[in-house]
Amino acid sequence: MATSLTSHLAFDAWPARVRWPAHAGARGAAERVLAYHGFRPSPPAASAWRWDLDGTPVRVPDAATVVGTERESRVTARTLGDVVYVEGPGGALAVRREERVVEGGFTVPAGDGAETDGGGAGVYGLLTLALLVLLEREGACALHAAALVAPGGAGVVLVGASDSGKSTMTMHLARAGWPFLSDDSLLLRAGADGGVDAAPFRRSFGLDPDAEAIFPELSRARERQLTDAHKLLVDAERLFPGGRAERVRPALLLFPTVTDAGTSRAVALRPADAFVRLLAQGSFLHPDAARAGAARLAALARQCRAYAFLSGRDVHRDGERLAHHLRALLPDPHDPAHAHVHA
Amino acid sequence: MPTYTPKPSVVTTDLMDEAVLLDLDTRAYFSLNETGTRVWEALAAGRTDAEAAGALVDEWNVTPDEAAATVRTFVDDLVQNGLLVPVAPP
Repeated sequence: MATSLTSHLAFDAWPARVRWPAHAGARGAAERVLAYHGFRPSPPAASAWRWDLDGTPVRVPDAATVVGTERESRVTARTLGDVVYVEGPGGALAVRREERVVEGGFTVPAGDGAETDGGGAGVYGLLTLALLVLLEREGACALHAAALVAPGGAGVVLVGASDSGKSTMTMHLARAGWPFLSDDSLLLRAGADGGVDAAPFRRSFGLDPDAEAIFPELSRARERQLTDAHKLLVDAERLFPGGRAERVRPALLLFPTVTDAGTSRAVALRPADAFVRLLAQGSFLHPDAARAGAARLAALARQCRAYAFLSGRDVHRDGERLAHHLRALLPDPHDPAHAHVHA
Repeated sequence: MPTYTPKPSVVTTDLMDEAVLLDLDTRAYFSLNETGTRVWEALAAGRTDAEAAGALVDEWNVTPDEAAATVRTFVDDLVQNGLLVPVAPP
């Protein structure tokens, strides 16, 4: 059966021709992982990418060098020449960057609900890393960050590791009416004017289960778990219909930390500090893409104001107060030093 | 006098008088302050460590001995971390 995928990322469409595994469970797993990142099945179209997953894992050459791992699974990316291999407990894929082909296969463990939940973390990691290699080839760079659109249109990016408060802040601001991109994963790409734009790279929100005490509405938007079993995965568009933004030009970078202090505090960061913190949350796989990705993160650090945001008890349960804090940190759109951000 | 060259996999990013070095092979990154950035730029341009120290004396209020000691320690760090490679004299 011929199926293809079309991105509904706001950047260009990235269509693909797919030969999915014949096994229904594996096919369902692959479709669910790609839908999670914003890709959906569509009629066959002129193709840039080919996914040729015949079920047989490729053999990874011993000489391939490790270049990355997926943080929620045991999947490793290794590279040799122009090929990036991704390998985990469930299988192995080869991504031939120049030809834009993914080939190989994986097995979906029986009896773990794999046919509906994406096949567990192993399949999630395999397909996510393969997708990132293809996206890197097209000039995009992945960043572990949330993003929203502040009143006036400026992009606010919340950068940080898991449990730094990104998702809770995103929920608060989305409730306050700020359009949102993602609570966790972004793709960065150069805009036509050379500035850096962000697009979502995860459609669902993932929150700590105890967030239901603050946001009781989460219970009506639960989704089946795909990766991290400790997170509550929710359908963001069911919670906030029409609230999704597909692209934004970031103007403010925040690196949040949850604290017990009574009052929140923002500490200004120099561009070099912001860049180093961005590197820690960026994702590069092939060395050629790493060079371009680092340049993209440096451009992002240059175009934004940056702060370490020590979120205190005053904002943990008060979205309006959080929105007020962040509005005060936004660059003045009339300040010529930041004029290019709004160009 | 020894000269040095940056390891080819090292990417230098300048951000408002400070540089960040990213080694694409190891994925390790290093921040340089303003002084370190100045010395790195001099060495990467093929100047000797003595010339790099001279630039510090000219620009900051330090003695030649202090500048030479600073550059020596810094160069040792860079070489040990594989960021800078000594160039053999012709």
